[in-house]
Amino acid sequence: MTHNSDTYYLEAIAVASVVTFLLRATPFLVKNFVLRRKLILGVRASMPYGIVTILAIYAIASTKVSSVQIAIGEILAVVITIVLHFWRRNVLLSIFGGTILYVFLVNLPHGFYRL
Amino acid sequence: MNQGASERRRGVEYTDRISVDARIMWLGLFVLGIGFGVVVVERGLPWWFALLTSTFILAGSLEFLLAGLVTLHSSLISIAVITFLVNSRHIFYSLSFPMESHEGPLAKVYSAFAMVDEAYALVALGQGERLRGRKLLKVQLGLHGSWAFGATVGALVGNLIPKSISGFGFVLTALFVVLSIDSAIESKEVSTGLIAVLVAIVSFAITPSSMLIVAIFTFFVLLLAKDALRARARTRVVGEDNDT
Repeated sequence: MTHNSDTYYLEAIAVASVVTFLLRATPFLVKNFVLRRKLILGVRASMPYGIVTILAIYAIASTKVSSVQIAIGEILAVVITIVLHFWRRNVLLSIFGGTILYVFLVNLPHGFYRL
Repeated sequence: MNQGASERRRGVEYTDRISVDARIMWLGLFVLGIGFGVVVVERGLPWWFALLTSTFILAGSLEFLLAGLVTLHSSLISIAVITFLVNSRHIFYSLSFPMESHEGPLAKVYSAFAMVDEAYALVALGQGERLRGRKLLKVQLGLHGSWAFGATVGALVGNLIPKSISGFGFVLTALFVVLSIDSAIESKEVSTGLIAVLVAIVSFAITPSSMLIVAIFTFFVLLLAKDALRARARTRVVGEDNDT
């Protein structure tokens, strides 16, 4: 089978793009109908809180851990981020404190690993 | 964040200033975009694959997957199915995304197109009160631009960038952690947060590859159940009050 790679790439991108857009846009068309149901109203208020928490754990869990060094680096950096944030409640300090520690730990000699 | 909280306390609903959180998201997506661009080229794909996916799909985790799928010459049907599975979580985002705050169909269409996790998380933090309308569009444009620019830079000059820069992708992890702490403090409902944490960990243990949709769907169902129980308890109390 001859395969024109460029055309195939473009088709793949188009398919993924259309499906993603439909998933994001369609619910808004049926939203009014669904939202009138009282049960959903209560849930609606708590969804963001839960989803952000789930995304945080996803971000932590989905890092490709290819060595113990990276695992330890990530755990320590997450802990420091949490501690800094409870201590000062300053977004910049928490995020860059955690990130700098992470970059430092995973780049220590003995492990120039790619993430 | 302190700033945001004090704004809310003073009752100021709208400022045009883009928050620190949003700017960090831009930076995070730019850095992650570079990483994505590098992966694309390393897989033997053309540089414009990074540009087009990041411009027209705008869904980070799916784009990483797609780069793998096309190198394996997966069928378009399976690409459609995988896209559906990975991104179906966005159906739940629509429940609390302030789409009605946009004027005109074009703004609405773009805002739906650019409803990435990062935009949703920023909206969620203010419960849709602070980030809406034109400011939300600006934030989304910034996220889109940072991701697409980063991906293109990564694909074109990725091999010139020192490898340690990929570690800076941790800013996004740290940001999500910070946002969830803030939303926990804001909502004061510890049980909801605990449910989310447990559901996320269990989902990851069971199925790492489709953790997000499994966790979000389970969380949604549990919330429905919790709400129904609470509503029933409330009507019972009201009913007893009426009896006496």
